[in-house]
Amino acid sequence: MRMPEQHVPDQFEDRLRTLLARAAEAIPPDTDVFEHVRQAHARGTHRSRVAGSRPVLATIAAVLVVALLAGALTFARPGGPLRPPGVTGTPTTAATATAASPIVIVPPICDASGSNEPVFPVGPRVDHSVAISGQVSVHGITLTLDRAYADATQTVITYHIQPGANLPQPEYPLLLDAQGSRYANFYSSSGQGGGGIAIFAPLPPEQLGTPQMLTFFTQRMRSVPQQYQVPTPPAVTLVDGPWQIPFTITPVAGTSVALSNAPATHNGLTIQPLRLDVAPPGGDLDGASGGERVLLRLSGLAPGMHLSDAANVGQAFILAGTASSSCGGGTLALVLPDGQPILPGLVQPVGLIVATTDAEVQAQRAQTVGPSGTVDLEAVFYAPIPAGTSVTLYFDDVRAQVAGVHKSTSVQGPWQFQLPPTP
Amino acid sequence: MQFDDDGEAIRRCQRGDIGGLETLMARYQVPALRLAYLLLGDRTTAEDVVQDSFLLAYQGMARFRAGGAFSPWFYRIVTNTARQQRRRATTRREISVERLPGGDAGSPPFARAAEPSDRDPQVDPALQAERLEEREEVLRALAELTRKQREAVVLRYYVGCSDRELAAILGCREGTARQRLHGGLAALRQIIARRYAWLDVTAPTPTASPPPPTH
Repeated sequence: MRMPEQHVPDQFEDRLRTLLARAAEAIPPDTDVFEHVRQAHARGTHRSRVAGSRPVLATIAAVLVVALLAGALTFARPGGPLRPPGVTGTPTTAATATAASPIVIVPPICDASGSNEPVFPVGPRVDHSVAISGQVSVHGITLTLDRAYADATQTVITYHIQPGANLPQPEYPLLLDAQGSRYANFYSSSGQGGGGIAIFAPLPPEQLGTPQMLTFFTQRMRSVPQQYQVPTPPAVTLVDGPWQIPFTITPVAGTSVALSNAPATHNGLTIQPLRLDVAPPGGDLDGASGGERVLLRLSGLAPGMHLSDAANVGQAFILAGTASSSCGGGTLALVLPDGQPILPGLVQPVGLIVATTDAEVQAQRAQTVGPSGTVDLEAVFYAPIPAGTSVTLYFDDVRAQVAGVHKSTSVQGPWQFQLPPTP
Repeated sequence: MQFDDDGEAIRRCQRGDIGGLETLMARYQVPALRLAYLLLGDRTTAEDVVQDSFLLAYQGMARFRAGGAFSPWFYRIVTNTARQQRRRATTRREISVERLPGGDAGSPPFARAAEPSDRDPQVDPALQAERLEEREEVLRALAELTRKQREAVVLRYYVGCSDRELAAILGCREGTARQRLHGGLAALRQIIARRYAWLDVTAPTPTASPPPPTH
């Protein structure tokens, strides 16, 4: 392709070309997705975001599991030998974030070595989900809610959609409470036959333990045809609704502890944990066996920094038969006394707009840190901590824009806080 | 330029020979992945888009006009498919635990699929960190454009499309394509000047990767 001959690009355009070319190098030149395509072609199906639809990644994961079992997972400790997870070490002592705090180093989730894959402890699997009823039909597509469970770490709903052909699934589903607050859907999947599951960010502590009227909402349904034809688009069919079904559920209260840890400051960034919520086992609807939610406060940020950038840490979970992980600018973890880190499955700034439309995405991108330079973060962990265990909340470095600095940089920590023993 | 024997690969696809698709993928998958990545800012989603796009192209190859250029036709499919992809707030890699040998949702240990390395041991770590930061901020700046502006900017300044090609890929008139491009470029100048001023240094820097195949 050729540029128009009469156009003389200015320096900015030249620079833009270079920047785009360098950004694109995130895709290595030896990337090969042919095998994915060949398998999908052989199956005769069109792939969508459905659990169990990434066979090649599953293969990679299987290889890494073997590597893990071979002891490849290591946690580095300063001045000490590498050790695998599960090996009991010296328990950390109770302390706030001071120089005397135990030093815990959690390797970053995206270390290229691949030797630091996250693992998650599991507890007893108990299903305390409840049957919910509700059905709505729009344009011949019927959405029926089946079961639900809610606690301090999640609200999870199972549903089915008829007709179930063409893998129908809600497009950008939302959960709304009686006050109109919106809760983000961070995982959903639909399978053949129309059955599906959706997991949402948790309700606030004050809504736990008492009956809550919630609404499952989706503006559109997306269906991926089993047999499709070009010309494109569309490859998928989007049917406008909305579908919305109210239901009532009493979220499991669990325990909530106000934390008294002193704030800690490194390189201009102050972090303080404010609250620890512990969810008991009971969420087996998606395989969860308990979890935690920690409310943190970050201070010293530059006013005007994008709010969404405040949650730039690695995240990982195993829920609903799917393992998901994402790279981030830093590592946030709860570290068990034996050194095993639990990574958060969900980290979100409090007050961040839940975006499902282009306009909301733009509005979210326009949200910035206010004049106070303070942001509260909610970090949710989907793994149980044994009762009576004191864990270390660990934050290694944070990619953030601190006050007085003109751009985001890696702000070095670590920030460490010994949390009180879980109930 | 178009690869001389795209036509033969296309004809093989039209005969139902998936080997023809393999040939085309060997040529176009990396530029297509990079195009989708710049449009979406997410590698995993970009892979999904490109896989779907090749399948769509293969299914629709019977309608491909003999003698036509493959790359703009295919980049149109990629761009359209990228529009339909679900946005995700974070870059997540999802793997079915159920498909792991002996796996189920609650059986540790589980290993995350390896993220492609952002760290090349041959390159100075400080430079790598700077490049990583630069990439993130470029993607953030692109994300602040409207979808139509972003498509126009990426297709012009990464793929190298002319106005006519832009219009063909975006499915609009040339004048509309130019409007989107100029609007996007103006917006990007402002965004970079306001938030990412350090990106706008005008010293020329060599590009390490070759440009995508074009016709």
